[in-house]
Amino acid sequence: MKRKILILLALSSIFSSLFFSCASKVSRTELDLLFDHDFTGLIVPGTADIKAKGEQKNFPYTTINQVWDSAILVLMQEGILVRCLEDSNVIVTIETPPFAIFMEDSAGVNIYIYCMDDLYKRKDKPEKVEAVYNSSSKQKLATTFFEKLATQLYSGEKWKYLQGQE
Amino acid sequence: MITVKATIQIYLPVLFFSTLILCLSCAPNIPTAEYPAEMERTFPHALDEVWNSVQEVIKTSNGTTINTNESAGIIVFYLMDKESKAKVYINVYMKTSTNPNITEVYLTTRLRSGGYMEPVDREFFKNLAETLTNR
Repeated sequence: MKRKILILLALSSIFSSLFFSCASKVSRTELDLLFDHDFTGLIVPGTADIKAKGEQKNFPYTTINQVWDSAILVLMQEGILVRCLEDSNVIVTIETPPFAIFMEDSAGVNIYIYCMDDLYKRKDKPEKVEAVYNSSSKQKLATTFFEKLATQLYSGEKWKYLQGQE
Repeated sequence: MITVKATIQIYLPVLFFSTLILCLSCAPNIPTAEYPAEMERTFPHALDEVWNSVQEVIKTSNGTTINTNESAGIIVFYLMDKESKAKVYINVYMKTSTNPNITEVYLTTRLRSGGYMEPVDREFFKNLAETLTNR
């Protein structure tokens, strides 16, 4: 009889652990609150921060307007465009993870991408985060975006170095 | 008196099938697209006309705008999915084509959890074309 009870107890503990592992977590992040409030109160990272902490790539033979257009077309397929600030050339996209890009004229156009993983901080315990993105995953995010942007930007363009050789 | 062996023989299949059901119910449901997404359409109207018509379409479809930038030609809004009650985010980007009387309109849809497969784009472009015709 004791063995039967023990087996039942073991089974019930397995079932309960399975149920609880599927249950949704109640902890709320800053990103959850932004979704709840339609992104009002979103703090757009400053261009200095994006430049200092983000990944960078130079896109030659192009203008900032062309990059802006291509970036919008790429980013709108990636996530939700919650901020598009033309005056500061910053676009914030809510994806997994959310990120901001900044463009500046510099022998072509320099693009910086900054992972906004601080939005995964829990509101009740800001020292805890729901998702962690290490430098290699941030690098991967940047590389993927830069590749897509380059394809969009240069597709159908004649290679600039061939100009004047006709 | 039920022996331990008999108990295991009874509970083992029950445990196996229950675990299987639980795992399958927790697995993500990957939707399949029934038709190709219509991301872009051109309209034989100037940008400001298209911009105003897009605003009207959003209003009549009870959309809530979360980002608007007229000079950049961008409006982002959401609609509520009737079945799941989830917010369906819609990015709209408008720009003048090489001909100033032709406007290119790009549209993408997103849920917070990822892509959205319902035909929002078809409905949106249909409503936009009707609104532009009736102006």
